[in-house]
Amino acid sequence: MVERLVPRSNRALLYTWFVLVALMTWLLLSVNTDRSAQFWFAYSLLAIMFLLRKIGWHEKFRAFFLLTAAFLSLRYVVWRTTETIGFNGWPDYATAILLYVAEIYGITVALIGIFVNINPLRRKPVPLPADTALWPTVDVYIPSYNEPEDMLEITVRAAVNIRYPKDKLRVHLLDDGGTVQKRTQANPEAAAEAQLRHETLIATCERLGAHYQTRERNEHAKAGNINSAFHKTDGDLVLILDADHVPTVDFLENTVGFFLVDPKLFLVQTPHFFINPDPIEKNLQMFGRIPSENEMFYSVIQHGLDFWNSAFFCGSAAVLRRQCLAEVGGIQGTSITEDAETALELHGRGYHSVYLGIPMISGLQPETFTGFVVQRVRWAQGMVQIFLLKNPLFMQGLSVWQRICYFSSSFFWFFGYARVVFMLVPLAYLLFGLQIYNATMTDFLAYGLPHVIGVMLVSDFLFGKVRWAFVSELYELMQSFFSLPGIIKVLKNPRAPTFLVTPKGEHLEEDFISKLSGPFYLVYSLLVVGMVVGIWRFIALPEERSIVLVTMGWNTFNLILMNAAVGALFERRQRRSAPRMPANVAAELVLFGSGETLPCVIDDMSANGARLIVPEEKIPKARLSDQALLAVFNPALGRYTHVSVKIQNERSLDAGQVGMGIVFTDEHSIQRAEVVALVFGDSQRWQEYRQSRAQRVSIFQSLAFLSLLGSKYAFEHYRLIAREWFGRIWAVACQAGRRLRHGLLQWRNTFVSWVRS
Amino acid sequence: MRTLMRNVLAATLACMAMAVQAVPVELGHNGRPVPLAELADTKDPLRMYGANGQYSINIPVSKRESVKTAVLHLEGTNSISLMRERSQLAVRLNNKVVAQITLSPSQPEFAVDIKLPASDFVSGYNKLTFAASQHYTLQCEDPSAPELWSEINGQKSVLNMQTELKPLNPNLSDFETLIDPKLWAARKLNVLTPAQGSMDDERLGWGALVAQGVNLRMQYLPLPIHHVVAAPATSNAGRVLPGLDQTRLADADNVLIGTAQELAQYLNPAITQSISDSFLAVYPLDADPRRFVLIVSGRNPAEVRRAATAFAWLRFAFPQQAATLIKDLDPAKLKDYAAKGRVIEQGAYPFKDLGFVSRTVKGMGAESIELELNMAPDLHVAEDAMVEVELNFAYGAKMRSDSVLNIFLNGRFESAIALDNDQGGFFQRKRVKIPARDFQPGYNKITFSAKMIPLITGNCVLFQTDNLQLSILDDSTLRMPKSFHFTLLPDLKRFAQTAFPFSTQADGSRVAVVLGGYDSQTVGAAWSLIGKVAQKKTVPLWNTQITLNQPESERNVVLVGPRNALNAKLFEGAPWQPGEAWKVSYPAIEHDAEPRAERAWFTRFRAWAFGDLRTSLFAGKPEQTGMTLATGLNQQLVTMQYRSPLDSDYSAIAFTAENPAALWNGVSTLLEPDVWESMDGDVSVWLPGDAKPVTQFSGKRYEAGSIGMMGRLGYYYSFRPWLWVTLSIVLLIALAFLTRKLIRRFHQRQHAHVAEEKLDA
Repeated sequence: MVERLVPRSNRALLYTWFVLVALMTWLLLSVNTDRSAQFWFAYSLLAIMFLLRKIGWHEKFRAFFLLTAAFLSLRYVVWRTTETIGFNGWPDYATAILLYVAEIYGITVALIGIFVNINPLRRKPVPLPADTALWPTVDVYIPSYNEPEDMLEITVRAAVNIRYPKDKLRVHLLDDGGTVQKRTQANPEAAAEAQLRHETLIATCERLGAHYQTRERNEHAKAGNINSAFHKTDGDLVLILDADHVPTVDFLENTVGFFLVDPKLFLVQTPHFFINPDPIEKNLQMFGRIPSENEMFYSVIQHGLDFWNSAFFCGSAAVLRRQCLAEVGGIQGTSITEDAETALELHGRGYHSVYLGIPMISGLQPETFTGFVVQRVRWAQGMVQIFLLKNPLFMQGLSVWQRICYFSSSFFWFFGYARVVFMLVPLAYLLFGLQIYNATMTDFLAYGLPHVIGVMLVSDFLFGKVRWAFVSELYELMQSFFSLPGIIKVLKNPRAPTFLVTPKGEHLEEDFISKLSGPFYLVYSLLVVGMVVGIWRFIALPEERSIVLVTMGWNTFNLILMNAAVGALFERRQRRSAPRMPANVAAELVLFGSGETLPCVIDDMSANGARLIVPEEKIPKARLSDQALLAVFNPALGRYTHVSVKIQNERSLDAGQVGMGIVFTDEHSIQRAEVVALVFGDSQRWQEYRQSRAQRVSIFQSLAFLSLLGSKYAFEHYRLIAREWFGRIWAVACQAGRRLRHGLLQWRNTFVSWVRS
Repeated sequence: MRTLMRNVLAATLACMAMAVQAVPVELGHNGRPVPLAELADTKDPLRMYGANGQYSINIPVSKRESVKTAVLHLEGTNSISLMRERSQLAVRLNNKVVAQITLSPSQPEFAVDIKLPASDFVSGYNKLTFAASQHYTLQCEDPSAPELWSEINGQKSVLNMQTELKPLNPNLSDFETLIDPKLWAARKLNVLTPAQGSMDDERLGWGALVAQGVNLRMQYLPLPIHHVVAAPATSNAGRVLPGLDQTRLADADNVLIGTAQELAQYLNPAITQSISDSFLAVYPLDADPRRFVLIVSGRNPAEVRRAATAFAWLRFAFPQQAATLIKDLDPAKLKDYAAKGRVIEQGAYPFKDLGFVSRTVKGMGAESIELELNMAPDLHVAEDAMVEVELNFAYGAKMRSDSVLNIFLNGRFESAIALDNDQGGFFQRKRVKIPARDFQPGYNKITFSAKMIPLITGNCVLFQTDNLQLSILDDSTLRMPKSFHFTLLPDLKRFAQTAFPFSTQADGSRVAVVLGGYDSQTVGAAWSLIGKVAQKKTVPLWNTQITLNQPESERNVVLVGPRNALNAKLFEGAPWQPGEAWKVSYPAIEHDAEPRAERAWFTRFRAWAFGDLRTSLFAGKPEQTGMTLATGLNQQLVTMQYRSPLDSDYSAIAFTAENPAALWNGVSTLLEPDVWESMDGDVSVWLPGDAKPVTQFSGKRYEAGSIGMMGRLGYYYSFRPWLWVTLSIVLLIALAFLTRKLIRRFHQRQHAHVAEEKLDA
């Protein structure tokens, strides 16, 4: 192991490092000094970290900055372990241990995170040789199960658009929705639907120049689908794209070169870039205002993993070498995260991986919180399956650093436990008076707070641009109530979980409250009750005020997160099937009839249309037709594209401009391909958009942002509940009124008849 | 009740100890005026406040004696605001009124002699209560008015009791009363060995065990052991010891030790014949049936040793018969540092494990609740470490909000708990923190003093005081912080408090007592001292070596003997070496105070950072005057502690004098608690007749115990926090530098030809 890490001449350096670490540990364990010394010690280190941050030297002294924070955390662990856990009764003790384990989990993840991200590797693409004869053949796999055909058409069209010698590129649509099993299933309607899908997709593929593949039976889900195609094809490399992952034209130009320079390379993974908001972003209206949740992984962590030759396969937007895949029998299927498992297996055999941070696909995220939860629980269960069934710490063939990296990737998914504990533990004190943390305020200030500040500084340093503070907490919290039971299920039976396809491209016709809100209501109520009891404790138990204040502060933070979570559970309608993404492309709109040419800027684009910004004075008073031709330089194709459009609407904007909504009207395949290349084909556009979102804000700004959005949409959430309840009451009242009216009328008629008679 | 009795016993023993300051313990209290302040263990007057002021003291009376006369001379003062018609002081003995005194404002000083009925005294503790009914008006009044007071002068008020020892018909089961710290009469104990010629290390060991057994039964009180060489009787007159000359034994209790063969010449042949194993027997002394003689014997030295060890260990009543054979003995295998009520190391100690029993106190003048504990003698804790007391307690409802539970450690106020919950209630795990450094080695007492005030007070108002109640439960805990067995020696004060370092090993196997001779005075002094060490340890040191020769290795050494009789090599490293001129150094000026300028904040900060505040323990040593004296010891007793010349990991302590008589006199009086507790430094010099020894520190300090490397670092960094910060930062920088270097090399190796973008996270 050592020999592999460093040449023999460097071994002394490594040993010296170990000696220093031992010395530091020793120093850490000899901390039986008084509290004031501890206090000054910790805050001196923090002051140095702040100073480095302030003068911008924290990148220059990256290792020192990170190690200092790690030291503060380890110091906290030592203190926490040796001095804060006491036996104050079984309920107290059990809760204390639950909290302790959750904290140790969090610190372990943070420390391994420091290791992983100590020196991220940000690669540039390796250029392909000029002689295309040297280029390997590539099979593009687009596995599909139940995705809509129009979505598949765009993806296949974009795959066909990829710049690569046509004789070396074969696009395969792997349709699991039209298998023999599906087409001959007992339900005649479903069978007919599958047959129709089968035929439609065959026609689509023929039209687009792709190959349609299906199989007998739907075995082993996505992995089985790919493996089935794997045995029917023979390209040197395999590019795997999810059905909604539309590639840019330069995908293979940027990735294939890596395989030519490293014969042991099995994988080039690229980021997943999404053009629609995830349900939390959408419901809190955060999309585009803060970096997306997945940015942290694809913009930082995968680069860190890549440095340690541990970047792993994420299921799509990746190129794999056939020879390597064949060696392990194709995509692995022990777990339901077949992608990471396959990478683990191949890393274990000594193969290499590369992560290229250029976004070259644009995909869709689940529209609803339910879909989001399905996706995330699958990831959590799959990674825990790997943790249990192919634990990277004990797997043969991996280097030490790869073990740590894979351990980090799989261990992270236990966050559900920690989040639930952190949410409920303050209530253990506020509601039941349990004593779970044997420390005074001074102790906490000397040990706990420096650790927390250190971790936040590191988090801000490593991820500040791509993940705002507390966003992780919100996302993890929202998943935890569902991932925790999922994980427990895996722990009980590691082979139990089955692959559930993430629903995408759903249309939400109206606002509604997620059906998964139940646990959140319960916890929210408990937190509110905890606050009330906390206030009572503060008044009634003067001797406990300091601990009450700290615990209520913690509970308040939980309440803020829960508020945001409740806000995010208010599902907002999503009618647009094709998400629009910002653009800033100069174009010309040639109006039919008059032939006038309007200079304009494409402000956003989707697969179906675009919004143009046109100077108001250029717009003719009277227009003869709503048809037009859009002329625009298509960077993906390197030439001008002319697209037929229909003007749908106009709206005046500030500064003498008009926003003009257009739809693409071309039906012809070649022109549709031009549109797809224009909208989805330019990786530079995705890159720029990603960078525009990468902005750092302070911790307090982030907290205020989440608090405000959370409160706003939680209010909307509750208003909808109130409206529904009020509506029901009103309906009941109206019905009762109608019955009463009806009764009165009957009585009146009877009375009148009686009088008349 | 047990706690109460224990407290009373402790107080009584302490005051009895004070009483012996003027008169050696052997003379007892009998027939001599004893100040009430001594019996009450206080130097303050006995004060009674309020309309119903009370003060109680306990008078011990041993089962061995009967009270003949008891006269209480009482002197006191009362408030001049009291109303004569309604104010009086009642004196009660065991709750029976024995006298009443009018408290007159016109004659506020009073002095009376009260004859206490001798027949009202009982064996054990007799409660003498002074109950003052104090009023300032015939109308309704404020019973807590500040002018309602009276006080008894504790020094001038004395109790003069005449007691008489009863004839004994003792059984072995009576030993707890035969050797009784409550004895009012004179106490003296002789240990007899058969003949001077047969004295050896083995016999020294037997006597040492007997001395420990006796002293452990005396609890806190000293009892010097007289060594007497048994002499044959000139006429065979006795029933038990017909062959023993008892003329010198009649005023004392006695222990006769030896093998059956050695004792045969003194004993009744029937007794000799019954010695068929380890043998213990107690009989009235033929010459004085009010005194006993304990026979410790066996057929061979091993059996005698077993009998002596059994006597030292036994805690329960012996069989109710005069003699017994001990067939087997298996002393307890205790952990090192084990002792009664001992806090040994870090951890939580329930009160009940420390001997505390749940207790309730009531009323406005509620008695204090005390928790006694015995700190390990060499505990070292961090500068700011706190001992946490987690109290489970309850108190009554409707008390005034200024009611409090004050908490004292060894009489010093440490903390308080407000009893301000109007509804009262039961409270669990209420934490009170006491700085660990405030605890002294050995005996400590935490006092919980409840000051409970009725909610409604004032003139003409019916007081409700039944609600003024507070209970402390024995499942409360005391939590000791992280600590080490580590201290700096020499420290005679620590030795006086805890017998450290001679009391740490469970069986005393790391202790050797080296004598300067077999003469009775030296032997008696050595036995008395080892008895004292056992008292401090609370269990016998049954594996201790006692010898006239070179001690075994790896032992702490106690040297006892005239200065010229002890091996000079054993004094190597001592502050003073017998036979050589004595280098003396002492402060040139007592309390040499120097004015200190007010320091600016940055000076204070620097002082804190670089530790000079923390090292005040070692700093500020006053200027010393040194001189070298070529002189002898005359009648003085010298006690010195120093690193053992035989083994640097161990200590030596020497008790030496000019001659055996001076040694015996010195040791027997040094054992008096007031004198003993005054030892300090590394040298104490005591002259018979002086109230306290003179102490000084002139030797070198050395470490005792192990703090471990990590503990040592923590200990050191506590004094030099900035050194720690600096060292940590330097190490972090070095670690970061190496990490960076390793990362670069890893990068070169793994990604040598990778084209990279500039990092922009």
